[in-house]
Amino acid sequence: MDVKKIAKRGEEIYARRYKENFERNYRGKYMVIDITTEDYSIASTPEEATQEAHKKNPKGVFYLIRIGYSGVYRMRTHLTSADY
Amino acid sequence: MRIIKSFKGKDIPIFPITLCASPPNSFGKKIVDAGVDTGFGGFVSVSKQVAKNMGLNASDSMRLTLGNRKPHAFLYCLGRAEFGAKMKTGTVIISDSDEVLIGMKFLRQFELHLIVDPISEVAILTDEDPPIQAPDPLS
Repeated sequence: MDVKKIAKRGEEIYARRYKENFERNYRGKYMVIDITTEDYSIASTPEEATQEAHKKNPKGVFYLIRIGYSGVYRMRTHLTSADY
Repeated sequence: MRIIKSFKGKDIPIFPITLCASPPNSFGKKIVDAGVDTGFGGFVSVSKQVAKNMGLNASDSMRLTLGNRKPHAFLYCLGRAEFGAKMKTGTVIISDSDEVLIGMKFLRQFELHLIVDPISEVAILTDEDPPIQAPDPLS
């Protein structure tokens, strides 16, 4: 599946099912959403959340979020070709 | 450990690191030259070509906040990096850039201090005692 479609679907699931509660209680934690089941894994690191998600469903399609942030990391030096 | 590198003619300091997939695959370990990018908060970013050469199977997705402050989706997978005698697992982002980059999370995970002299174009990565002490917040 296209990376942008995974992200869009992940954001849609997050906003609809988890955002309100999780941004109050888990801000700064890392969450992986399986967009095939809408199940999630939360951990203190992206590595732990990713490993947990893959363990739960090896055939899943996963989207990583840092709860309360627009991106998991910043990459200030990077722009996409669309920006030029 | 204290590694000193000249980066004459380059924009950013470059150090060799060893990378492989996590869990390791038949492609094994590769030594790559990685630029230290303090504007990147993550662990490692590689080009699509490097990912292909290492057999990295990146199928998961995350958004990064770019220089224009907008989020942009990237594929990622877990990978293992070696630097000095240490090995750490972290997220490897597949970027559309040609460069391999290591970010602030890489430095934190390996407990490395980065010292850059842009005048003489020399950089040091060291895990020895902090050469710079944080100032007293009250002073």
